[in-house]
Amino acid sequence: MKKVVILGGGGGGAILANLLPKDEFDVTVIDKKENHVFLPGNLFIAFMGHKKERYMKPLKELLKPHIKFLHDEIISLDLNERKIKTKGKEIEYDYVAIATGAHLDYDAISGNTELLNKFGDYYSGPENAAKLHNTLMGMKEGNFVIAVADPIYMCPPAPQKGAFLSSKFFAKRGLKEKVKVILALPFPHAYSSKVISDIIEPELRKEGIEVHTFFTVDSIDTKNKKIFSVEGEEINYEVAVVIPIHEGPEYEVKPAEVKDDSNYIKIDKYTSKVEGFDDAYAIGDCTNAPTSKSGVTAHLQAETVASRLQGFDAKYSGRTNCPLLTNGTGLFIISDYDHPPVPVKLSKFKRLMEDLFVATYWDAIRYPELWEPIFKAYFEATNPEVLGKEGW
Amino acid sequence: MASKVLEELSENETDALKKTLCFLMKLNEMGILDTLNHLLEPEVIGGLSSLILNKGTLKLLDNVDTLLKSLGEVPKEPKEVGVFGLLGELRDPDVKRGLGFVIALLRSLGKALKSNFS
Ligand SMILES: Cc1cc2nc3c(=O)[nH]c(=O)nc-3n(C[C@H](O)[C@H](O)[C@H](O)COP(=O)(O)OP(=O)(O)OC[C@H]3O[C@@H](n4cnc5c(N)ncnc54)[C@H](O)[C@@H]3O)c2cc1C
Repeated sequence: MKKVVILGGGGGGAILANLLPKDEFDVTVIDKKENHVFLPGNLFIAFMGHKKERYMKPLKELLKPHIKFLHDEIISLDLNERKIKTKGKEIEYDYVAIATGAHLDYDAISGNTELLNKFGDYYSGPENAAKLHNTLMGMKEGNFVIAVADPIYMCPPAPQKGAFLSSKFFAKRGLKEKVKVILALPFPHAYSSKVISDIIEPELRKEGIEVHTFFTVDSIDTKNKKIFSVEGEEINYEVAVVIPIHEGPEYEVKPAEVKDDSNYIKIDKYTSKVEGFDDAYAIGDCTNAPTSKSGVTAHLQAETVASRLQGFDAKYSGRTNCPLLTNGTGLFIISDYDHPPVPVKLSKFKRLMEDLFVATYWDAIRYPELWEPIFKAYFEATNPEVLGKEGW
Repeated sequence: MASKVLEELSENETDALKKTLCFLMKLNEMGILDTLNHLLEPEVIGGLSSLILNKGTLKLLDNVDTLLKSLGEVPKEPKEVGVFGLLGELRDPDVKRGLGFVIALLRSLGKALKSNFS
């Protein structure tokens, strides 16, 4: 039996654990939280008033019965000694997979923690998403601002999704004329890729969403309700969400060189192997792989690592499939290491597909072997190489 | 044990359970349960998925609302069009766009048929 320890039971870690055959692997998952959280659900909690319980499940129930779950916080990882320290234990392994996601550093932008505590947000978790929903229910007029502190953050289209969904929310409350939704982005366009920006700009205009480009959040003045940008602009807000700076794991990892300047774990972008190690992998949001920080990435990297641990030469192509939702329609940001996002038009069908992805999330985690061939067919049919310049 | 479980069920639940059992018995007698059981293999699911989820079907489904909307707008009894009428119709930009679509469809259908039969 090979002893595999998986650090973190989020999307990446839970799928990897469930994919490893029980007769070959002795698997332990360590997570400091008892509940697994479906982060995209934050949007539906905050802007559609869904119950937060819908997007949380005990991790123990999501893992197959033979998998051991250790509810504890990881303090350090020594790759040379093959040792993991948690608050309560010391554990050794034959193989380790790091899947602790991104660390959200609210303190890096002055005023952001205060903003989070006051209004809630839709990045940190379901509790704060529910808090944001309450805040927005109480809002009567003024600017609702969604701003971005750094170009690298989870789910690249989430600021735009938030803008579209909140605009719909205010329209439903009869406040279309009174509340203005403002999107402030560090990019030259309404989306980091011009191809996608050209597709959504008319929709943003139609919804009356104001877009500020070249706006990288520098600081927040919570007394005077102003957000300042590095570029020298300022925006007034009544309520605001500033997507925080993301970083790699906070806990110590030895040798220190495996972390980059932002603490992300340096990996081979195809195999997910930690640089310099044959018995250590990292998947999902905690790595420096040059692709989107997305659940799809975590899922596909988990499949790659599960195959590699079973002796196959699997590789991850960098494929992304992040959904962007507007009022009733949707599209997917489809790209990989070799192709920038291809043009994908907004349609009702893609919105339905996204709703299906969300509805089947828990089953895709619990029974990944059932969903693997189905997703594979979808990913092959929508491979950026196959879609080409014409897109979908 | 089973009778204890039954005791705890409400009337509605017992009713639903009876119906479910009836349905399951039918599926079993007809051999559908056995067949489904044997069909539920990764290879079958994979094959079926790649047959249903391909570039063509995804494009079709993506446009299904446009197609159905245009179908709904076709008059109940479209007027007849002869050769000369056709020339006149071809000045209409909507007709030109529709024709372009049909010709592109014919071309790719022709290509697909050629590789299928040669
Ligand atoms: C608003 C929003 C919308 C999104 N929408 C989409 C979408 O539509 N599609 C998509 O593909 N992606 C989406 N994402 C991104 C997606 O949720 C993440 O990319 C994905 O969850 C990453 O998975 P992961 O396993 O790497 O990390 P996570 O899911 O973050 O899991 C990390 C786990 O590690 C645990 N952990 C961390 N540190 C420690 C420690 N020291 N000790 C013990 N345990 C620890 C955490 O408790 C957590 O359970 C969205 C994200 C947000 C915020």
